[in-house]
Amino acid sequence: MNKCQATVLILLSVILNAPIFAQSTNSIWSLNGYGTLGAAHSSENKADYIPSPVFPKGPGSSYNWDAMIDTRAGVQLGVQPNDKLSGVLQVVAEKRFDGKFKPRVEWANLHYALTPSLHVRAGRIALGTYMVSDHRKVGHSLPWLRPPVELYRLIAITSSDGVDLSYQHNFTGGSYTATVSYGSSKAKEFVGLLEASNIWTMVHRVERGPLTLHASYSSAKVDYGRQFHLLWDGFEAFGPAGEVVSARYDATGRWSPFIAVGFQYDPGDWFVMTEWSEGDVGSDFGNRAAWYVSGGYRLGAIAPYVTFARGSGGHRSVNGLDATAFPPSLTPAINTLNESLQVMQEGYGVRQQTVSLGARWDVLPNVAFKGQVDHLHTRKQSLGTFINVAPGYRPREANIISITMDFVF
Amino acid sequence: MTTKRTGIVTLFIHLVVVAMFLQAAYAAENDNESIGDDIVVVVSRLNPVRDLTRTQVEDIFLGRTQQFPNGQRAVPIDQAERSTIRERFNEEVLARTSAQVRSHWSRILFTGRGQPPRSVTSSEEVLRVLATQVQGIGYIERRLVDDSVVVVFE
Repeated sequence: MNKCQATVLILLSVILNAPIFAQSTNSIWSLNGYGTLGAAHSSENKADYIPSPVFPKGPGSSYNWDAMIDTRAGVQLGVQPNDKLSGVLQVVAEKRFDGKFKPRVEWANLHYALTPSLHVRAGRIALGTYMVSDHRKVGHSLPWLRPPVELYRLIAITSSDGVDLSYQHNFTGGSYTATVSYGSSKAKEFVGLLEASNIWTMVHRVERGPLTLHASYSSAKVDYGRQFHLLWDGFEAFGPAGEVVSARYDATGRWSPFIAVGFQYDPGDWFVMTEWSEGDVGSDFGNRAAWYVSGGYRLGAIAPYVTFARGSGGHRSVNGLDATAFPPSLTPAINTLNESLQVMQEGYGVRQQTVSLGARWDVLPNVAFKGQVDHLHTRKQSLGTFINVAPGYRPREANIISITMDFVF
Repeated sequence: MTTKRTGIVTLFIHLVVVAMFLQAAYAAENDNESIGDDIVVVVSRLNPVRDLTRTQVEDIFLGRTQQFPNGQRAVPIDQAERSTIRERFNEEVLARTSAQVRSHWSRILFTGRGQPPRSVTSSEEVLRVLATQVQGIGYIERRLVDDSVVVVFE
């Protein structure tokens, strides 16, 4: 064992034994934290598996075992001066688009209860697009090692700088909450800066004992960043015919609407959960959809689960620039542009299904180990959840093995 | 590559070993004092609430509601982390393991939607808090029930 491992072990031993949800009862301040230490291996060695579009690399061709796709640490400072006002600041360190492990403000907002049932928040707010979107980074709060990838990667924007208003209505044995939010976001991704100037979200949630129903509609005007603009500029350099292609595919400034519905039943000893989502970017890349169904059983401290997830949508081929309409000397340049467009199309439509088998082991109340095996089947003309694919190669079937340790304090 | 894999896998093996030691210590701690007494849920005698269902108790202690059924504000009072009575309350009343309750609260806490109930160090302390806080609701051993509180769930 080397020095670095020893340091990690000592730090974690301290965390494991730390009082959970440390807070002094009389203070208006609270400090809490969570984290995950993970490792993943892919049987596919000609491409990298990535659970989220933010990663530049993953297990596969870049790493035999990648320790970074699930590893993260978060700290949260809370303040509640009175019953009506509260504030929260959460900073999360994880691997970013540039390959560096660094911290970022995940959310920072003030919350005010206008009435017991009407609440307003302002600042950087988590978007509740999907059932577990807002706490998907808190591994300890999830039954799985990671949320089903096909569905959860559809929405790259997870927080917005703006305001939200929520109304909660309590009925016998349960509650209904409606939340409307408006804001903007800048997210750095591997492909560049993903900037959304207008994000609207409407979320309905019903909770009644073990039952949760969730439905959301969101729409955002997104700018996909420099790499895309270069491609559109390339097409437009070919005059009106190129401009037609760029107008067909360039989604910059267009509304991209998403809908999602979810159902969860969790009486304690077992759970079933399912979600479905569909959306598009307002261009010829097409619609895309994903769904999953998952269930698990709790045998004391051990909770095995199984998930089936499937992504669909996008197109197999692109309607690019017709090289025959131009002099032969331009053919190679046109082909390069069309190929780039085709790669974008294949990366856009995640036509893939995954069967996951895993188990959670609650070794202590605030520490859980998880192990998961995913069997992926990626369809033709789709890159699925893979990047850095070897030239001319397309992933078809792969197995991913992952282990994590989640903790909260 | 091989070094890297061995490194991560070795680290995990060490972590599991450390965690198992801590689990053994944790289990021993909880075996020390086993109380045969029933656990009852109580409110101040000045609180008009007289009877709650298991679901209503669950909703209050899991943060699903901040109100009693009559619309009055409800403030749950938990007992010490890793204490036997808290473990038993979680398992017998909330029907969840302590890990599940923690997982539930980390979901609410880390999305900024709420804070877990404040906890006090003993059942006697629960009684002391309820004496001054009419909105409070706590759980204690049945033998400790006195005139200042009313049992609302047993």
